[in-house]
Order: sequence, then structure tokens, then C-alpha cells
Amino acid sequence: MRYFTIFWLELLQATRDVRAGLVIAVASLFFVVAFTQGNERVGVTASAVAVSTAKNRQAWLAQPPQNPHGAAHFPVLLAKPTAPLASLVAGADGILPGHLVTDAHRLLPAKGTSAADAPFAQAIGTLDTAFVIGVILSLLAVLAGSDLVAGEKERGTLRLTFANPVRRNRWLLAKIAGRTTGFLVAVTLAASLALMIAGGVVLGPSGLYEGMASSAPNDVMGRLGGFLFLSAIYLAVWITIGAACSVFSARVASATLAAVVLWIALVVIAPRAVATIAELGDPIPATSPARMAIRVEEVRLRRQQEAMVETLKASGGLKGAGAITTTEGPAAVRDIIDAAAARAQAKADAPIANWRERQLTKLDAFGCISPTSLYFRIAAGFAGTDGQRHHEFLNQASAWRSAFLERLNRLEDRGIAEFSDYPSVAPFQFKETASQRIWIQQSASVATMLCMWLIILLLCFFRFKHYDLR
Amino acid sequence: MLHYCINNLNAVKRMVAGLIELEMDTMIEAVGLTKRYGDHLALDRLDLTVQPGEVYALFGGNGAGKSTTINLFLGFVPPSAGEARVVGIDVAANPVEAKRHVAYVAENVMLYGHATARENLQYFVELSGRRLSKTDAYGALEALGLPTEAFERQVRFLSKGMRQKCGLAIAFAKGASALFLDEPFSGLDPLAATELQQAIAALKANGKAILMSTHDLFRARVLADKVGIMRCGRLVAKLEGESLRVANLEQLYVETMAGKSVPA
Repeated sequence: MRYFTIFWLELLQATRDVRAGLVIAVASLFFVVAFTQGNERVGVTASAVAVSTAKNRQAWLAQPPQNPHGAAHFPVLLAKPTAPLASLVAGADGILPGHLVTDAHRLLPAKGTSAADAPFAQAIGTLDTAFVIGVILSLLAVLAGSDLVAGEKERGTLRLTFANPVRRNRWLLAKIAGRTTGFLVAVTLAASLALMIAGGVVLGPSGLYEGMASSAPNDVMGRLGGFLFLSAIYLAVWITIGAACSVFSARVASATLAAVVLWIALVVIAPRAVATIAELGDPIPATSPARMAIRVEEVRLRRQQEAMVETLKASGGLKGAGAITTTEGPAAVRDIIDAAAARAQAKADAPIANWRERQLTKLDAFGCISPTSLYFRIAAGFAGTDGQRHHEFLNQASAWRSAFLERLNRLEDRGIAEFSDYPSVAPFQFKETASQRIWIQQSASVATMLCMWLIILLLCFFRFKHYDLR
Repeated sequence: MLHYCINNLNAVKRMVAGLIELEMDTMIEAVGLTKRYGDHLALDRLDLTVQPGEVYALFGGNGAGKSTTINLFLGFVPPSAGEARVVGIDVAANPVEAKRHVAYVAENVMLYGHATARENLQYFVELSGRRLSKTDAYGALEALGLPTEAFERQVRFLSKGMRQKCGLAIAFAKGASALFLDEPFSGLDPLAATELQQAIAALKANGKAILMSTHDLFRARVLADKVGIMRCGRLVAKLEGESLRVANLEQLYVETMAGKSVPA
């Protein structure tokens, strides 16, 4: 009961402290900006994809009848659907292509939307909700925690408190819990205020709604719950880091200085330092030899193709010039050439792909050094804007492309492709797959964050046990 | 009975402690209490006892060992040798149990500034394990002479004298039998100091054992039953009863500090 009283007084103090008002004001301001920009980002992408898709379809239907080979060269747009929480976390979607263009020989990123279409983002850079929580609020949280013990000592209330039958660690735990709850209440109020000011952009037609429309609503609510829980834990971690600085200092000024230095080290320096260390001794492979290898292979394949066609002509297997028939021979040539081209491409890309894989493994392993790196990674996972979802999109796009070409091959059987057949070719639909696996991964990541919190708490307890109360 | 004891172990413990307290003659006791910080001897074999209804005033210059003594009784630092006992409980061995009987008033009573006087009182009393109703809290603040209009005022807006009274009200409401006052008159205007002196006298009359460090010889003479003068961590002079009544405390203090006189 007495520890609940400590918790309650801490909460009561927070409601009357001017700093709580400051947190609400600063957080509201940034949330308004982040929500507005998130809406703008998602809205611009969604409308750009819608316009491109419509234009693409019109162009397909406007084609004169032609042979299926020509149809196979028609560029088709494959759009990645809006991620469930894209308006909250830009994640990797901010740098990865949102849609691809494919035809018989290509599967390439389409040209992205113009920065001029998102003037707000252009003016101040990408500022999403995850950034506000991960960077801005983490600074406020660490500052909020930094006077937890040193402030009590400086004010003299610590001696008065421990003149009572109070156990040190339980008192510290109650204080941290009270301070964290107060901070989270302030942040929740700020977010609510921002929602009111920004006019429901997150839940509006271009905001979270877009994500909900593209996924199962239950999944979105689960992801949103996961994101909010993660954010709460993350801010608790920072308040506890602040408390740890406080427990190691006798004065508020030194505790605050230590907290700010630690914040700069973990938020600003650590992610870059980890990336730099990961690159040391393992520089990115030069791309020119790989490109040269592809070119050499292309020349070799073209020659091989010409030789095979000549052989087929000589044997009478290919009838008529310029028209591909149902003869087995050209199909076999095409398959062989396609497979060889794919192998060449994979071989050429392998050094870069392997290097990227190694870097990601290292960053994943060392990313745990900083709670902020970890937070951004998990937040993107919950939002669906992580690299993994993008890879799934690429895989599904590739599979759809194969199926599309297969369909054209079948149209080929009729000799001429009628473009009204287009609807009969199933449009590309990205399906969220392996959701169970995603949840296991996300749970493990959140557990890592919780472990980080626990370790910092234990450090606080260990130090506070020997804290000088004089 | 056994079943009751098992289910209410803590209550039984407190009941037994209460019975012991009733029988106890000595509320505060130091036996060969010594504190050493590295090579520095902050307190050297201190022996003292304070009975219920007694005030023991400790005098001495800065660094004499007064605050170290109080810190040892409050369990803020462990002793290097000897024992500090409250209600017969060794503070170093069982600090939580000992602190159930302890109240502390600092030189500057610093409470939670954003909470009111009444909220602070209820909070600190609840820390000692007791529940206090709003009415009881008002009663305690009133008993120690805090003006009614200050009850629900945030402490940061109260004067130092008012905060000192709040501190004493906390000590009073806790029902602690041993009080430790660390220079309570320091920085108070004469009126506030007189009011505080009356409040301490009321607590003394209530049967509390009080150990007080102070520089105020005048008020100590009025309040104290025993006086100790400390220098360089040692209790170099001790007066009580008749010897205290007839002594010229000011002269004795000056001589003791100058190292001229070392009474037993």
C-alpha cells in the first residue's frame, strides 16, 4: 500500500508540474506535424499509384490488336499496397520503391513520386510519428527521469523518505513507475490533442484507413496495439536511463548532463558508429565488375540465341519471320535463354546481395546497443514498412510476373492477343503472408526491448542500494 | 491463536514491539558508536541514552560529528563499530523495523513542493505504515500550530517556519517514539523559533524521546534534559540534571570548543 502511495504522489506531482505542460506542448506540436506529414505521404503515394494504374490500364486497352510477343513487351505497373501503419512509420518505404514496372524482360522499380507532390515533407524532411517518439520524446523522457533521485536528494526529501521504513528498491521502482505513467499520460494527452488539431488525418481516408482497407482490420488493430505498447516500453526505457543517470549522480545538473550525453551517444552516434564499424574491413563490393560480367554474359547469350535460331531455321522448326508460332523450338530457346539470363543476373548481383545480407546481420546484432535503433526496427515491423515486407512484395511481384507471362503464352496459342482479355489476367494483389512468423519475430524483438529495460532497472537497483543518503 | 499469529505476523510483530516499547526505559541509545570514513574518524565511541519524555541536545562546531550521529541513527550510513539502537532495535541490523519508531526533522524540512501540507503529511505518515484520514491530518497540523489556511496550500508557497512545523506534525502524526531533529531552529525568525520550541516541548510532554543537534544554546537550555558537546567526533562534555541547571552553558561551550575544559 505504501508503495502505491509513493507511485500516486509521483503521479500527482506530475499533474502539477510545469514540465508536464511543456511535454504536452512540445509533443502536441510534433505530433501535429508528424500526423499531417504521414497523411500527406500516404495520400500522395496512394493517389499516384491510383493515377498510374488507371493510365496503365487505359494504355493497355487502347492498344491495337497485335501479336502476344508485342503484348509481352507492354510495361505493366505493379503497386505495393499501402502498409498497415504507413502513416505512422515511414520505415524502409521512405527509400524503397513503392511500385514496379514489368514486361517480358524487366522487373524494375518505377519512377517514384515527385518531391514537389509532398511540399511539407520537402520543407522539413521526413518526420513521422516514430521519429517523434524515437528521437524527440526519448530526449524529453530521459530528461524527465534524470532528476528522479538526484532531485529528491537535492531537495532533501530523500532523507525524509528514508527516515521511514521504506525499502530502497521498492521505493525506486514505485517512483519510476509513477514517473513513467505520468509521462505516458502526458504523451497520450498530447497525441489526442494533436489528433483533434490535425483533424483525424491518421484515421482519415488517406491515413490509417488506407492501411486498414488493404489489410485485415484485426491485423491492423493488433499492429497498432503492438506499436503503442512498444512505444510505451521504449519511453519507459528512456525514463529508466534517465533514472540511472540520476542514481549515479548526487546533483541534478550532473545527472541531466549525463542523460543528454548518453542520449546523444545512443540516438545520434551509436547507429552511425555501428554502420561504420560494420563496414570496416568489409567495404561494399565495386559494382563495375558485376555490371561488366552481365554485359559479357548478355553478349554470350545473344550469340547463343542466334545460333540456336539458325539451327532451328535450318531444321525447319521455325516458320515465318517476325511471328512466333506455337512451335516447341522457340519456346524452348526462350526458356533456356531466360533461365541463363536470370542465373547471370543473380551471379552478378551476388557480391552486393551477400554484402548487404552481412551488413544487415551485423546491424541487427549490434543494433541492440541503442534502444532507438531497436525501436525503429520493431516499429517498422509493426507498421509493415520494413524491408521484410518489401522483399515479400518483390517475391510476389516476381511470381505474378511469371504467371502473367504464362498467361500471355497461352494467349499466344490463339495467335493474336485481344486486349479486352486483360481483365482475365488476374491483377496483381499483394497478400500479407506469414503473419504468424511476423508476430513471433515482433514478439521476440519486443522481448529484447523489455530485457534492455530490465537490465537498466537492475543497474539502478544495484547502484541505489549503495546510494549515499547523507 | 496460532492461526491468528501466522495470518497476522506483521501485526503481531508490531504488537510485540509496542509492548517492548511500553516497558522500555531507553528509547535512543548509542553504545560505543564509531564511524570512520577512510582515515578520517567522524565519530569516536559515542555513548548516550535518551529516555521517553527527554530531550538530548548535541552541540558542536561544523564537523564535530552531530550530523554523523543522526545519520547513524537513521541508518543512512553503517557504523564502523558499536551500535545505534532505537527502542532496543539495532538500526544497522534491522533498519526497516527500527525506522517504524523513528521520526526525523531536518534543518530545512523539504517536502514535496507541488503537494499541499496535508498531502505531504498524509504521504509521509503512510510511508511509516499508518493510514491517516483527512480530519486526523488537519488535527495534527493544527496541534503543531500551522495556520488553517496553510493546510491545503502547496508547500512551495509556505515559509520555512511553516515547513518546520509541517515536519514536526509529520513526526507527531507518525506516532514515532524517537525523534531526531537536525538543527531545527536554524534560519528561523525569533517568533517562528519560539513557536517551534513550544511545539517541541509539546512533543516532549507527549513522552517522545528527542535527540536534537543545535547551535541554539538558549533554546537548548529551556528544552533539554541532557546536553552533550562534541568536538572532532568525540563527546567531550556531558551535562544533565543539576549540573545542567547550574552550568553556564555558553562559557562551557566556548571553553570546550577551545579545548580548555573537558568535563566528564
